Amino acid sequence: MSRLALSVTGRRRWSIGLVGLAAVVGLSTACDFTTRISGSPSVATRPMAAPRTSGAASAEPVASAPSGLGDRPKLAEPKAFVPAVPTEFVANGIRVWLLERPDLPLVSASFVVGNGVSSDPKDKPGLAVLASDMMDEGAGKLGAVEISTAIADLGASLSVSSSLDGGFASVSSLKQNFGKAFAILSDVIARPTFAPGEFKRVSGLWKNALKKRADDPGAVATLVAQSALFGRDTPYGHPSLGLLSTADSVQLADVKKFHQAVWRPEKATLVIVGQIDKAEVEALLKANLDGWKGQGEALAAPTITPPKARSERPRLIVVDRPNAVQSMIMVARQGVAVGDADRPLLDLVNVALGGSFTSRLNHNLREDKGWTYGAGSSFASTRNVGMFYVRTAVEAKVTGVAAAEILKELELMSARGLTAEEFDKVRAQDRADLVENYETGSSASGRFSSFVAVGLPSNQDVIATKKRQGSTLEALGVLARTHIDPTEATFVIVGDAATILPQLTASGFEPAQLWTTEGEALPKK
Amino acid sequence: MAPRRSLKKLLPLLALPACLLLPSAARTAEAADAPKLEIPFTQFTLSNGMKVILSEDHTVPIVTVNIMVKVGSRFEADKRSGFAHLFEHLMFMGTDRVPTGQYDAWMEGEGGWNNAWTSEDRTDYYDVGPAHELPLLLYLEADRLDALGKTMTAEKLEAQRKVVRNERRQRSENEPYAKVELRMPELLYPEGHPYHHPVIGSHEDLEAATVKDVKDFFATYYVPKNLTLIVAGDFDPVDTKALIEKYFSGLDGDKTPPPPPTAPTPRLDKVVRETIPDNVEFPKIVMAFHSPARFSRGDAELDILADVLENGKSSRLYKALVYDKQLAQSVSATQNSQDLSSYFSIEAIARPDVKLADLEAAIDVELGKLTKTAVEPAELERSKNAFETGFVRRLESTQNRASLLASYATFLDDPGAIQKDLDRYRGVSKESLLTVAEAVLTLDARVIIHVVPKAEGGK
Repeated sequence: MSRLALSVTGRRRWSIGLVGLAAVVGLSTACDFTTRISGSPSVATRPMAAPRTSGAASAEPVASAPSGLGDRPKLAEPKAFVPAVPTEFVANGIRVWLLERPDLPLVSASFVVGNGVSSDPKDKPGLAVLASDMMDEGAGKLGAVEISTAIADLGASLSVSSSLDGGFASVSSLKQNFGKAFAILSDVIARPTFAPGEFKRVSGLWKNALKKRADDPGAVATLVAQSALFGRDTPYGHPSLGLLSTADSVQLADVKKFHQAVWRPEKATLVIVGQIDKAEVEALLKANLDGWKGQGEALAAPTITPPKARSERPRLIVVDRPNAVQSMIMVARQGVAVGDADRPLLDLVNVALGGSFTSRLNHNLREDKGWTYGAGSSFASTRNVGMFYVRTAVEAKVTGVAAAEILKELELMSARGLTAEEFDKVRAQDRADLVENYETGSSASGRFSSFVAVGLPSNQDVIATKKRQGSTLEALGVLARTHIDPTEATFVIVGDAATILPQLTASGFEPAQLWTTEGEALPKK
Repeated sequence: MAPRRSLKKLLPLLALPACLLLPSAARTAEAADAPKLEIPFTQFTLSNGMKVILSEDHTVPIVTVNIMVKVGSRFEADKRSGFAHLFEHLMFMGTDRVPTGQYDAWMEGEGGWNNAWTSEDRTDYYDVGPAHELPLLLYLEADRLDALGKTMTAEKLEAQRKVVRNERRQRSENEPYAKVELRMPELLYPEGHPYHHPVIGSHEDLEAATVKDVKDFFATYYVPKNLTLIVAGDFDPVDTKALIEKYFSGLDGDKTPPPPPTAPTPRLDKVVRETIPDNVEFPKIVMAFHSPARFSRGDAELDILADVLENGKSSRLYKALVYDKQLAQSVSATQNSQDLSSYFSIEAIARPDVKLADLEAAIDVELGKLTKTAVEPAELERSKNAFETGFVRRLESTQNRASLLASYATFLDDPGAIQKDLDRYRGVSKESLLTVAEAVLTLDARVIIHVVPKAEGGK
């Protein structure tokens, strides 16, 4: 049942705003721009949500209630929860984060390095993604097909991907097959073959993926927004998947060089979660990666100075998609890097604005107006820069008014901050998120891997939630003013230009710049 | 660019029907140390006929409430396509006790969240929240099951009608290749068949729905005897049972839902072809064959055949079309399991300059082999192992466990059927694969849709 829309139609999808950028990293599954560096409760200091005396709205029981339904129930205090933090040690020169989870016979292992898409050479965008894709196309003694077959024989899964700031190579299997699966993973990171024949095939698929990208309005909106915000030739402004115009210049030699500079024991961290202990991990590393050494120069993680969005950029960009029944709207402005002291608190502002079903944006555009299936927003953060964005797909005929309504919501949040009721909600959501993020081995492993890639500590969630639970409404108001203010935001709209341009003018927007699906401004007519 | 594992079978929690294409497989030699798969539960039935299943797990302070309703798009009246799903949206529009907007506001205000989905055969609602929120989650569910119908208004209906029509635009009309999903059921099933229309329905029929339709549908299908309630996670079973009795026992148990619609097993006696122009760069071929119903003989075989065809670089279709001949950019194969009968589909996106006729011929060569020669023992073993791992993975979260219990309870009337399901896959042999492939993969009776780039202005 692969096609959800075919037979399964879910009710809501405000999370479209939150997952958007993940798609952009094209072939990869992890993407720092979408990683929500979010929360965890700490027991003692946690302020509880204010007691509700009458609920959010009047809710008197009605006479015809079935026996026993009565008033809204009073709830106990939330239970305390502190997520388990991994044990950290070094084995065979490789840093390890180990979290033992005895509950199910599963183990997942991810090697993570701190270079990804943002380390692409300026003239070879897409290299990180292509290089990670080549890693499992033959390694050690196994060819491309043999690796895939060996992994399948074990009932395991293997994935290699790049995010904006990281490279990830992971395997997951039943405990009983894990040793063999880990041996293959070790070959993939340390001994990839990089055969010319495989490169020819894989780079062909990659170039086709670049051509197909224009079909997808969400992917186009994202790449245009990133290009507009940071510049298309910058580490965080270029499309993760690369560009059609430069694809031919990316050669196998580039892939080999990138891999050698990035995948090295001293740069790698092994995140391992499941039914496995320290002695077993040490034995596996010794058996499989004893001789692994970096060769040549290592690539440093990129530093961007100053880590700012471009100040001169258009306020409204339209990418023409003739006859589109909906318009994809993406509003982007400067955000903050992962290490910013305010970063954890911005999640609270965002949950109220566009990070929950009852958020202002979703309530207004979907539930109140009925213009969309969902609207959302997110703070996307990387090691060096960040982007705040709003995303929604609206019916073509309301594109102008919908864009104006988004602007109004951003101005309102910027001017007045959260309400007291929202403040309770967002902290309750934060406490619950922490529990959910550490409920399963796979979710915990995903959190840890994303932290490693951007250099955050393993207890980042605990620290961040503590900060969020101790915040004040006033402090969030100040942050909303600084970080939501849409004065410098860029509106990117992918839709039918003939239909939407007059609407946007009528809604008071300045004349639009027309851009291509590859993130370039078209010459003015 | 490896063929990413067939996560589609293992990932989408929303695609609950997929949960039941459940993985299993013990390598015979190692069956002894194969993990034991079990979801512990207790069950009881309220005096009004509503089934309740409780599954405790105190690992983390989370609870999931899942309510599965035996209704879906195949139950819809004539000229009301899309109604079951539109109705699902309306379930969130509030009552007198819980006014419009407050179902979500109260739930999120305490840390919880919710979602729901509708398929041809089922509608499912689920809430996930911190453990202390359970009484509120149960209250909100009982409230709407009691009062949704009598508090329905034209304004509520209109609000969600707009949202659903935008859902259709977003997911089916403005999404590359997705128009196939609107058209495939119409080509596969004859007019009047319960599966003839897509779950999302037509704009025209969505526009036609009335408040009376909503009230009637609620009164007919959302009755205790047609509902299964699951509570999974960190809760006290004694207190929770008492609370469920307090909140849900008052629901009127007099009504019995009508027998679900049935239809003669659909058949095709020829190849049905259609071409759909779309806003895409590369053409695509999608073909579909009628296949056995969910959990009937052959259903598990087709899950395994799909895996043999598409999972991994050595899988039949990937190896031939993507890796060796380089005709396709991507391929997939899926057994789409449904209650009355299923369909098996194959999709492939062509590379530039490859003709769809050539791609189609290459697919047919591979299908022909499956119907004539037994698969290699290693291929069967490999597929079984993938399913077995996927099965264990599904036990990780409270939300998944609740959804599995609900599915087994409503599909098989046996919440503890996980082991039985596993055994379906363990029982697959290369002989049974051959028999099923020969019966289902009939090249002279199928639907073939070609999606082609619009001649002009596509980009």
